[in-house]
Amino acid sequence: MIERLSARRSASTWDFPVQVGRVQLRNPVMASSGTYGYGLEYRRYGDPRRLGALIVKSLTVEPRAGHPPPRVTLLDEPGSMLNAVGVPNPGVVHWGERILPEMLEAGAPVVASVWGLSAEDVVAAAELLSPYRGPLAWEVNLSCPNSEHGETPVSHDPESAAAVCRAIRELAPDDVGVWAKLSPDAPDVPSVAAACHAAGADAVTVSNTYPAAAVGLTTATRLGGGAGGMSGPVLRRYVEPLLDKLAASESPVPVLACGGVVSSEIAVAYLDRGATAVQVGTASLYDPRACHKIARGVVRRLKERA
Amino acid sequence: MTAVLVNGLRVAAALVARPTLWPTAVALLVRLTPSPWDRRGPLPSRTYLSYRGQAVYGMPLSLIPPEDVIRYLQWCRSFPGPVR
Ligand SMILES: Cc1cc2nc3c(=O)[nH]c(=O)nc-3n(C[C@H](O)[C@H](O)[C@H](O)COP(=O)(O)O)c2cc1C
Repeated sequence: MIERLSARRSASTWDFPVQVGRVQLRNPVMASSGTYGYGLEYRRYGDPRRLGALIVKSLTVEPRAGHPPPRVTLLDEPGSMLNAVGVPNPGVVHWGERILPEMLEAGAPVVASVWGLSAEDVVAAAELLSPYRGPLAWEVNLSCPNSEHGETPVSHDPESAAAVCRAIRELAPDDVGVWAKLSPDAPDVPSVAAACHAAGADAVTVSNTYPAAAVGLTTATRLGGGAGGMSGPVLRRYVEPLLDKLAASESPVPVLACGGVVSSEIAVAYLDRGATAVQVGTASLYDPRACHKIARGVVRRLKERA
Repeated sequence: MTAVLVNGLRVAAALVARPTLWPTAVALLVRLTPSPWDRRGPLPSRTYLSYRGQAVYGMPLSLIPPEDVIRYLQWCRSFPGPVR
């Protein structure tokens, strides 16, 4: 009886289903890649089943140790940071064999994330991912150099981004979504988004961190990996106008808004700007319960309106 | 082990010298405390702490130098929170 009551209460607290392309999520709040580990690390601070999705740290073909410390510089802009972590991860195969089963056993709504040192490398990581069943979607981290065009990131070039999305859509099972994660500094984000969508991506994540070197008058300017990416509330000034542009474009693409979501109020403001769902990143490094608190707040606010 | 102990003492000394950060440190401890009905007790999750140290600092949390701990607490103090 008590179990049934608490299940019903839990359903009302966490359920506000949203459709992202071919997958339905329990609610529109997810943990963003690289800030929530593989979910299991956060398990004592919240049941992963309550989140809309849990996007894992980006995975590569081979394991990576990441950049030497220091990996982060905390910015003077409240709640913001600059990181040059260097994508440390155990590699797709180790993750698929050892970590994914544990995540699935915990009932986590898993989304895999793939990255590489070139466009070919990202596709190769997705190829290694294809035998593993369970992830709801694959997020493609397009912030990587494009080997054909030198150091220009794939995420800056609509054609290269579309080519990667097309190849990955072919590799992904039919019931698994493909989400393209874009960079906020691309010269024309809406064109990249439209190209990814036309190439088979169900949604675009806007956005990754903003490339930068250490800034700020009182902040130490050291990072083991050199330049890095800014995250936290500082990103809102880039993400907000991008959401407006994407909402105004002729064939809107489902958008997963990411950047500076530190409260349910900001999350709902992003949804109001046309996003289908939101991702929480840096806030989880301040409070391990951030995703759950924001998910609960968003569901409550959306239900009050409905 | 000695390195961990020495670093712990240096962090403690740095904290003692900055009473304005004590409320922030207490608030951090509260955030890191698992729910009261967690079977494994009230101490912060070791799995989480070691993940945080490795993922963000590239080293065990127990070896993070005092200046980084202080900087993190200052960052927490200015965080546009509480998260809800
Ligand atoms: C420490 C750290 C590690 C990250 N690692 C990844 C990663 O592996 N893959 C990825 O796609 N994004 C990664 N990101 C970017 C976040 O997923 C997110 O896009 C970005 O931080 C903006 O959201 P936020 O302002 O809420 O943090 C990382 C961010 C941080 C702060």
